[in-house]
Amino acid sequence: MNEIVKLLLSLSVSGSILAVLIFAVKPLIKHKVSKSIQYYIWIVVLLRLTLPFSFETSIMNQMFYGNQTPVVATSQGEVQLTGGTDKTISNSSLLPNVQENVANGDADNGRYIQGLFNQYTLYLWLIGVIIALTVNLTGYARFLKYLKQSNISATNRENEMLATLSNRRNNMRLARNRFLNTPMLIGIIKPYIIIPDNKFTETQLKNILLHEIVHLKRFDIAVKWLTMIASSIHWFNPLMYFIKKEINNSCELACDEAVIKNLSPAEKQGYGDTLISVVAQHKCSTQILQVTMCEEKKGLKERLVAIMNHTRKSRPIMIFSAILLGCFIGGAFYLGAGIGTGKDTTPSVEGVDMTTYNLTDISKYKTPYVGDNSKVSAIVNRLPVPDSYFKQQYISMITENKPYKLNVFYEAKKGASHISEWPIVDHDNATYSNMSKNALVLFCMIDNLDQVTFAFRDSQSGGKLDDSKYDTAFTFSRASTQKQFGISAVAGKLDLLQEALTGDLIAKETAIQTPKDDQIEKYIKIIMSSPSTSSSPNDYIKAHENEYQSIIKMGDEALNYLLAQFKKRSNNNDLKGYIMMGLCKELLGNKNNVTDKSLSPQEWFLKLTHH
Amino acid sequence: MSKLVSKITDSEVEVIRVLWEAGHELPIADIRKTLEQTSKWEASTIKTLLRRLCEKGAVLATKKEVFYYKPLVTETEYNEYTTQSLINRLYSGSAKKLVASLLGSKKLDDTDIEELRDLFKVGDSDERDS
Repeated sequence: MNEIVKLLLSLSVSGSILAVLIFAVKPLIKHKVSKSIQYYIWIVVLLRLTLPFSFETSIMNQMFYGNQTPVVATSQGEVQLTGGTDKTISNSSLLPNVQENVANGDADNGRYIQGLFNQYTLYLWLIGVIIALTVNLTGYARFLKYLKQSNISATNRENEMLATLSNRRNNMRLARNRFLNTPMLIGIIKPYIIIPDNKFTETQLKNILLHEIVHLKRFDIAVKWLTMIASSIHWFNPLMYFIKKEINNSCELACDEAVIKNLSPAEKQGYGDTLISVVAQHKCSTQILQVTMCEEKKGLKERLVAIMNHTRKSRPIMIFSAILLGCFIGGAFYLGAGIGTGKDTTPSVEGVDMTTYNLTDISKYKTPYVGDNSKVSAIVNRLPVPDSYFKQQYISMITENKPYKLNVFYEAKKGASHISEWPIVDHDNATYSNMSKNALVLFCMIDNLDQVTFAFRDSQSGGKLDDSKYDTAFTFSRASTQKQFGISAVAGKLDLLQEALTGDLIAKETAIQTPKDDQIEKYIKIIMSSPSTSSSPNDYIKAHENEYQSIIKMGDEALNYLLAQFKKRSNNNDLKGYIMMGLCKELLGNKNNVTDKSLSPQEWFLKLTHH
Repeated sequence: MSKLVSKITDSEVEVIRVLWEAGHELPIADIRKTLEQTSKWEASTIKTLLRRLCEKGAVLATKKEVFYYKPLVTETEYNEYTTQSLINRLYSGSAKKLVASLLGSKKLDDTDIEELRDLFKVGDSDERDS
């Protein structure tokens, strides 16, 4: 899954869990715990929804990244194999649908859909965020514009009162506006209070200003902006609607509480009366939706009840409140977010030591079939990466037709920088020779694998396999690899393989031999082309003596290739097999210790390898 | 007044605007002459719009030799109303989320306010543990 999508989902889930917890305990604490504490708890939720910071050990990180870390090749063999890890490994690599694997059919299908989903989720989300932000901000900007046009300055008396109430500290401005129904505080940087252009008594004005000053002092506008941003980011989360409403409610309740904290009962009565009279000034004349009106009434009622019931909290309650707030802050940290593991999916391999193949471990996954998804991924996971810059991310298999191919995809690690040139074109470098060793191990561990390609990209895949982005690729065929390392039938002989990997058995010429192999194939094809009427292989050879001799002239190279072909092909008792047998016998000369002429090519080859 | 203004449609405003600009009552012929320059309305359309304005009480028709029309709503009143409704709409749309207001935008009716007034009585005993 894309990292941004994961992060988002984890933030959303994390915040939602916290919110649900608050909704659950709300009936118990509503009238006991101070409204301010309840408000602060909601701010914790808000921060959890917006801040993408987390400990790596947090629940969300475990949930979104925990079981993804594949077991990777290390020089020690303490990798415990259980069914569980096996499954994990196969899940960690996204397989494109070229793979035909009946056993994993469902899983593959799921992955395919997930792939499609991943592709578009990010854009879908982005569109939503942009729409939400645009609607909110343009609405706000227009509102400001029209307000400013119709604002009239407040009287000296009002300005004086504001200055007194705010202790002349804040550079607050006051304005009147005849279009407003309710007093409000507006703006973060240069906040000003706007009151409706009505007649207010001294007490009413004082209460209104007190309320708005408290809002200002507690940075409630900033919280409101944060709420707007959070709900824009989490527009897809239906719970967000309730969270938003709760935050606004608790904000007002907390503000009221702060205002009346030090007021006498009579002053409290006055404050509540102010609230009612401001509402009463704009009595509902037109028919507005009944539902929203009820809601408004409910909200105001709740505030009035809270003012009536306000009491100084006892010490135990205060301690309990502090603990509760602490719990939610702790919970927010504990839940965390899916930020990914710093180590990334493969541990960084500094100063690559390619001799660190743990063959004993790898050989546990030895499989006859390249289609064995879980085992093949397990082997690939245990292969060293070419250098610390790359990590192995995907594999794909072509198992429908021969030659059976395996593609191993490497991509740049997050934050790593590639030192040498890109793309890697020549074969005279460490990456190439390291990959040839990896290829050898793969050929020895996967019996019917014919060809392996290691593809590299100098960037990150972003959760999706896109073949075209891999601009460096090394392809190895079974024959050329085995020839290069000078071992052909090492399957099962780990010591031999180990020797091939660690020793200097690598042939000096790293240039790939495929041109010669191709040449041999071409000659054989010409030999097989005519005369089609004959059934005797000798007739074919005789008809194309030149080509036949050309192959013989290639000597050992041709012999190695032909023997490898024998091994690779499942049935050699065809025309090609007979021709190849003839060639081999001639190339071997007196080294051929299976001289029984009645044997078919298949039998001959089997006997030869036995000796 | 706002109730009356809210019913005036955009097309009707075009017609009544001619009356505002003239500053005195006009017969339908004069209204049509002015409107011909800016719109392609038929005489019947203008007639219908004027009839509707009269029905709504925004325009008064007085019979002299022909009908003379006089606006009952001033341009200022109309503009006030549109600004008011625009601000209300913007406020309850998105602006409400970004300002700290004393109360919500929706108004309550008399019975609601009476109910709240009856409910709200702060007791003297501040020591009551809730």
